[in-house]
Amino acid sequence: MESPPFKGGVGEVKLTPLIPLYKGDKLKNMTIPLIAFLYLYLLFVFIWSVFSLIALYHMMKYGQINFTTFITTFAYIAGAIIILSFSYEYLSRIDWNVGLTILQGGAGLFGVDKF
Amino acid sequence: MLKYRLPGALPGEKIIKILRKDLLILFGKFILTLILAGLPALVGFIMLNIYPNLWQGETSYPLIVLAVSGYVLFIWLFLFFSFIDYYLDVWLITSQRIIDIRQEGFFSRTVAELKLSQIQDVTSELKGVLKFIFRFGDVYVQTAGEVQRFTFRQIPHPEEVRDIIIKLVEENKRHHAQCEKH
Repeated sequence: MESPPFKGGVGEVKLTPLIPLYKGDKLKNMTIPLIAFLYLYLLFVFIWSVFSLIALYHMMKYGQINFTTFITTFAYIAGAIIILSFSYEYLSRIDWNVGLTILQGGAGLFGVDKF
Repeated sequence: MLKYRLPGALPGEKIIKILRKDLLILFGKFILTLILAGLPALVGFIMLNIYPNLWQGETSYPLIVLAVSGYVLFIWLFLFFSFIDYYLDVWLITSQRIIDIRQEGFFSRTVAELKLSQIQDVTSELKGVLKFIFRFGDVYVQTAGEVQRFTFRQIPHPEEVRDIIIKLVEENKRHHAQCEKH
């Protein structure tokens, strides 16, 4: 990609752009598919699950079996299921094929009409 | 006899008292969790005032759902772990020793024990307005062993605990003295 020639001084000087998105006199769009964020979220949920299992293991191994440990463990598992169910409910309605466009024209980091 | 699985139980050993930190400490952790849980609502309110169409955007809405879901899951785990951190920190006073069990983070657990015969001095401390009002504080046990000082932190009614330990130490000394006579 070439920058427009700089006219002035002695002869013409061509500047190499730092950001290689410059094409002609317009900025090139960069689109990140939304599904990439979903994958990141799923990775987070996986890591969260691992830590949850570790916490449950600690509670069951060292917590002694009594009413308090039973209730808190049950409440945690129930709460986690509810949160994940609600998350699935909302996330399943989303069209993940849409892309997140950045550097659109001169409108800023996020295109105005994308919000 | 109090029900608790004693680590390395000695013959004839009985649990006299099971101690945990005062409930106010747990309450404080719950309050902190509530504050953290309320932060997204506050941030959301501010953002919606600046960008009113944020909730309807075809890219902003999914990102908001993902962020809120992830954050709520994190807070839920944080709350559960705060409880585990409180609940699994235990001090056991038995007829023969004191056991300090401490859960430190996800992957660290420390168990220390001290025989009653090694105890030289016991001090209770109630320092601060909140501790004085709600009667919780620290008990320091001076020992003759490798660990010079055993500490019970933020336990309810530390004076009572001090009295119990002193009484047990005296009984232990009398018992050993009688055994030596025979």
